[in-house]
Amino acid sequence: MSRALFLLLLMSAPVLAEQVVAHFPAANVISLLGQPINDREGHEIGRIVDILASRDGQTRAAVADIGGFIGIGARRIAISWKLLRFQRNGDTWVIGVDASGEEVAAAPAFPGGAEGIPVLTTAP
Amino acid sequence: MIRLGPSRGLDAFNFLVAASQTGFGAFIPAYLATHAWTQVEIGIVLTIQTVTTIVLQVPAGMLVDATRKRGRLVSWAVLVVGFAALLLAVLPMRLPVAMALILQAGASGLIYPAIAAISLAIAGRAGLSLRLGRNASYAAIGGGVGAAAMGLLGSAIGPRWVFVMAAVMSAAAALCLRLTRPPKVRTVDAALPTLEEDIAHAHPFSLLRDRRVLIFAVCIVLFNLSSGALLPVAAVEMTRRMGPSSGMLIAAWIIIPQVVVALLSPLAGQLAEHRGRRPVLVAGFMMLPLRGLLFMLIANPYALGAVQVLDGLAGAAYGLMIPLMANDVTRGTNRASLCLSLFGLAGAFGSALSTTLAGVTVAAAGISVAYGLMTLAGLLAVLVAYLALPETK
Repeated sequence: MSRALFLLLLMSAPVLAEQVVAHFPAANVISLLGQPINDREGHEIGRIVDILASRDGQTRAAVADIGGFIGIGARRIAISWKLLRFQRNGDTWVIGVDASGEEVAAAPAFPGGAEGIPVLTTAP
Repeated sequence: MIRLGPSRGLDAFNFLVAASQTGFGAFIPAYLATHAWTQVEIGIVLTIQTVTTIVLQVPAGMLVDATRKRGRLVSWAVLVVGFAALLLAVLPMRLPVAMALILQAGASGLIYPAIAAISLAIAGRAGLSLRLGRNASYAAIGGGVGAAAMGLLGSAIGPRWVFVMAAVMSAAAALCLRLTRPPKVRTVDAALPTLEEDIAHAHPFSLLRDRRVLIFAVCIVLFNLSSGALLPVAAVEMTRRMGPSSGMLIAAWIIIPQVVVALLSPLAGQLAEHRGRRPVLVAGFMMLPLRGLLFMLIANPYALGAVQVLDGLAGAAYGLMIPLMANDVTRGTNRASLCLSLFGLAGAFGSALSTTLAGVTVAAAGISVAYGLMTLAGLLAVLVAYLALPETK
């Protein structure tokens, strides 16, 4: 009887699973959605609104809203992750795209059509 | 204590309300994106805003018709809009934003009918056309100044200050109404039915049995179908050509028609009174297919800025006719605001149709076909107005 009671108590005690929690210094990570991005010349071209990842878990592209005036006329384009440059600027981050303003302007719109999602990328 | 005369007070009120409403349009998705909202979340609140606008439109119109103290009603509505703007500025999170958009959608449904009703009280039947022209003029100035200020504030200081400015404008509008002397003689139609009589035969949509209301509603749908998506589609095309520097140009494309409306609305009001409603309406509508055609043929962005003058001409006629016709066809009844709300619904429907159709057409057949379809819709609007709409003066 007392053994049963003992087992019952043991089962009801909260079991702490082995948890692994890493701590990132806040200054080392950046929240991406809504961040402005610049072109190669340093002009702000738009903001990141989404991330695309492939099935193997790799981030492939960032989707950004480009241009427009208080929301009217903005286009959406996908930019290859390989083109993104992340730089610390003191306390703030600057996200850049290794492409010129013209290349960004000419990029086809996301999500594209039957040929698939057009992603602005480097020459192979 | 400064007291404004009824006319001047209404002028200032129109200006401030228009300025405060500018931020609630196309800017909200961009603003929410800067606060890391996902596209799905943004889509949800925009749908909530649209559905609320549609559902509350007709009840709002009926409420304005039923209220005697319209000045007080519209003051409160404007303060609600200001509160919504503050919510957006301070708490850009899911629930507060949804609440803010619901409040703003409901309040807006009250504001425009109330302004038209107050205009009738101030100006009487004979002066109504001029007064509505003046309303449109000050609203256009407010909208233009609002858009310019928000563009500047948004890029110079930060996006949330757009909404702080909207809140300040709303508070100023409510204050200005407080300081306005009511009109000395309330000019009201004699022999207006009582509210009870009205309710007896008043299913809201029974207004549609009036042929004039139905035909004008069709004209409104066609007008918005032709005009609604044209600027956004052209603006995206411009961004595709010019890249991120398209912002300034698009701003010019928006402000040019506002300037035209500001300058010409009073004249349109005069013409509608002296020459009749039909000439002004048909002339204004004719600008639409012309504009569509020119957008199809011209690629130069600066030339298209000049074409936007046509948008202003059409907009001046349209903005005047909506409240004017609503009052014309409901003469002798107490249903002007309800009629105005029905017209507003038709406009919202046409606008939504325009956006959807344009999106599908551009993706499937290219932008020229989209312009072509909008030109066609404009032609239809002219035809229906010319052939079927009677003079209502």
